[in-house]
Amino acid sequence: MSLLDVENLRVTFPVDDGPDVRAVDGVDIAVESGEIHGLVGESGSGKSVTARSVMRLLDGAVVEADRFDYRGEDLYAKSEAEMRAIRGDDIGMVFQDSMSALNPVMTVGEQIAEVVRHHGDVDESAGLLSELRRKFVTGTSETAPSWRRAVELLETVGIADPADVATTYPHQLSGGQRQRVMIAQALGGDPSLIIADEPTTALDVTVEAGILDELRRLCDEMDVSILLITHDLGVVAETCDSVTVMYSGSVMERASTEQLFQHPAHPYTKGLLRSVPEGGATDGELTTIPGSAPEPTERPDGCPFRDRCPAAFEACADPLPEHVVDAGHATRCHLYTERDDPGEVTWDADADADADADIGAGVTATTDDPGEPSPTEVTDG
Amino acid sequence: MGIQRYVAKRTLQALLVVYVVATTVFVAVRSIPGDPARLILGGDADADAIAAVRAELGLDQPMYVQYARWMGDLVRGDLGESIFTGEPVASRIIGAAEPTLSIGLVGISIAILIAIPAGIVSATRRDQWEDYAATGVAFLGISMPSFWIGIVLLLTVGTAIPAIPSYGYTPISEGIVPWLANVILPATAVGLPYAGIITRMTRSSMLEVLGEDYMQTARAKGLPPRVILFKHGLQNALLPVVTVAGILFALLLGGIVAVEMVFGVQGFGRLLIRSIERQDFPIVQGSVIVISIIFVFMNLFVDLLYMSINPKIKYGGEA
Amino acid sequence: MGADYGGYGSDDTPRLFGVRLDRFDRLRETLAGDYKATFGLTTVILFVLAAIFAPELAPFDPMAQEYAIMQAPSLSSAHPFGTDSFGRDLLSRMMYGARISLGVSLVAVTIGAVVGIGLGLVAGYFGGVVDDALMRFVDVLWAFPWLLIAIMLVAVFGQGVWNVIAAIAFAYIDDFARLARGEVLSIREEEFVLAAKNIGLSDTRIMIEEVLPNAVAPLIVQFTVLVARAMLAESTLSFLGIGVKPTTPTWGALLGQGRSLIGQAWWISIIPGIAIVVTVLGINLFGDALRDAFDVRGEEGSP
Repeated sequence: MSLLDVENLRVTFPVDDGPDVRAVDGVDIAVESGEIHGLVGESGSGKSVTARSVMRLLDGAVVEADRFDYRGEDLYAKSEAEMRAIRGDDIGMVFQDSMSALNPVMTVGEQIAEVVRHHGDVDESAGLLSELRRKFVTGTSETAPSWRRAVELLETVGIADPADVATTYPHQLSGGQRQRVMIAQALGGDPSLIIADEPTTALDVTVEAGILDELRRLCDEMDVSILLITHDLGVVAETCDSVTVMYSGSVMERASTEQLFQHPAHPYTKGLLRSVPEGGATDGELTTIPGSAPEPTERPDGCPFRDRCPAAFEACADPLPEHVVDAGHATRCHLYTERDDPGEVTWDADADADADADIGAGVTATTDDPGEPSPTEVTDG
Repeated sequence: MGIQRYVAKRTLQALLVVYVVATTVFVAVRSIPGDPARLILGGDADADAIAAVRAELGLDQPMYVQYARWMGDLVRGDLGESIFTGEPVASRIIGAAEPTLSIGLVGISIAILIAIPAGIVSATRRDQWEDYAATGVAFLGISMPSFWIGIVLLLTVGTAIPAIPSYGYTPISEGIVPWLANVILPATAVGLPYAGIITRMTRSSMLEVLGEDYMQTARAKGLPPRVILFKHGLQNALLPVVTVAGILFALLLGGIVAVEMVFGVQGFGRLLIRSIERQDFPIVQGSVIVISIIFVFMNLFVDLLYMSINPKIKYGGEA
Repeated sequence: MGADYGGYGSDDTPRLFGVRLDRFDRLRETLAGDYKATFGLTTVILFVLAAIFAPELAPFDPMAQEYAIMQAPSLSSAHPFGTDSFGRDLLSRMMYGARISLGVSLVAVTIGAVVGIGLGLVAGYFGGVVDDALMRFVDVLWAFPWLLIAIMLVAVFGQGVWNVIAAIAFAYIDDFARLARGEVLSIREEEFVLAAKNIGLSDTRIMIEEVLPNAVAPLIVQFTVLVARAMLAESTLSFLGIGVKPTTPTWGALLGQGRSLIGQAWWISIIPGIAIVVTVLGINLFGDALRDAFDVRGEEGSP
């Protein structure tokens, strides 16, 4: 049984005067125990919304799914109180911007300790009055079990001088340190799953490497599964065991990391891989996927990628199919279901060769931003 | 180290401002048309008497000598004597201080105790009836002159409830309850506009905080809603309110003075107005300087308070 | 290049007096939909009309004293609001009072705005030593509560409309200066300003034609808010007897005159007070609608 099993997730945001925004349009995603699963997509693909839907942190949105199970239990059948028990305890979350995601007027140690108090099995009161007393009057005693556990966690995530750092405020720390604090905070309740929403996007490449290593270590040594949301294929290559690729609200491909990079099936995936500049390569143009991702209200029928796909044909207007390429590798593309021979689903002759190339950390899958005047031509690499 | 330097710098600035005020007052008083000595003695005094009074007041000295004496006296706390009663100005002011301070402090307390919870409720129940009610009352509050509120209270509560006197002042020495009963109406009149502003500021600040990322993090940690609101949100929301609260003391000032007139309280405000009417310059001078000093140091205090509750300032930058 | 009065702004959005046209649309929407804002605007318009047309609309001569009907209660005679202790018609006095209150508030805040914005513009634009010096000056001003200034002016020059105007203008200079300076600081780094400098436009032209129009929205909101406060301030001063001359019928003065008669003729104090409250409330509500429409966030010290 998968740790997290979501089938046919649809998230709609009602809009006052205009059509509702369907941010997620039929997404399946699963995270197995003991793995790091990457969720890759451009901005606007719906990956963050998907992540937040697991924690039920989407206020005002309409969330529907055929299945939304965590550990076999339907998350959306639970009451708000039950969800509160799960958040922070069973499932932890790490956010992208650590400076704004941490409370500026509380010490870092306290922000971790309160999670321990609320969800861990420490013998400390976590009621409203005691929390307020701790916040405004006495502070948390350094001998309290929750504080000591917080210091331990800081050490676990690789922070030097954890006891000192625990007494500091977020603005006094570096970006990398803050991100580690966020991870420690997510670990406070001893969760089985951590959702990391672009945890390294705001960091330098070298700092990023450290954080990714940390996440890998947590997964391997502490038996924490991770759902890692990113737009960076490099991160996926380095850290993830398996991947789901999203585009404009739908899943395009799902595979193990190796399968995705070695044998990409979907034209979009191929396009992404092709856009990745090879480390050190200076010849050839930077190629991108021409055009830009459609707004949720302007999606074409059928496959959202139709308008930019070089291999699009009439069947692409039909609802997305599911095609199994291999064990654990599936793609949603009409080329595979409508045609006996999907043919050379390539962007250009050298696509396959590129797909084998080594992708280093820090390289980003680029596509045209909406608003850029004109896309670059598709040329031979 | 940064903090001490900052405090020292601000204190110096405050003293500088007070100095400027004192000088301005000096100049202003001496610009008043007419001869103060003649004013004191009346129109038909003879030249010798006038000369004597002028000598007594030091008005025959060159300006810079007068100025030096003035400053010297000030620093020693000697504000001169009242033209009419001969009493030292300083003691007259101190004597009139208790009622004014009572009204002011009780007014501010009432305002804060009501306004901040009202603002929080307004923000958390946005666009529901609680919000409309609180915002409506707040708007009304900031649109009413304090003295008019006082008059209305006097005519309604004051006449309807005999236990609440609508005139005068009862010193604390005669008991807390009588004191409070006498002070409550003027204090409410003074506090209501202040409360209005604080409510609106708290509301908008709280709304902003509620949308911040760290509040979502707190939710993601599974904390109960009230812990999130009060432990995570409140302090952040109150920071801007503290800043503004200090600036608004100026608003209270006019209110207290006027309210004292309405309720016949023999306080500092009344003293000030009467002295202006009677052209009792030493008292006017002294009062202006005292008000200035209080005001400037009040603002300094609020600034320091803000610094102490905002860790970003208290603890500096990256380690 | 440059934001015209009408025409296009530096970022190519159509503007009127520096404010983007689409903001005016939003303002209209707000006014149409939000009853609070409509009430505010209506009140303001009524107030202004009463002030402008007082001589035509007032039923009696505000100065005419009829000893026969002193202190008549409202609606008891031909006087809808009653009369004061000299037999003067309250309604007429109030209408004339509207002119003075309006005039005083507008003039005072305008003077404060012109001086304050000027200071703020220069300080923010040039920065450095100029900024420091000007802001020190503004700080000193800020330390003078408006009441003190008023007191001193009255003590020296006696009562009168111009003292009130001066005191209030003085008190609001620092408000406008700080606000303008803050706006300028964020605008001056924008591309169109740098472009204008490159072309070689003089600093003054840049400040007036490029920077100022983009800073206008919050300043307009602040202006409105301070007009409301100025009316309250003037009424307080007049009530205390340190404002306008005793015969001038501003609403605060009327209130002041009625103070000693609260027991017998409460309407002399209460009714002008209601007028003050309604008018100030209207201005505040309108200012709030402006703030919403122009998308301005709360500034220090403003409600």
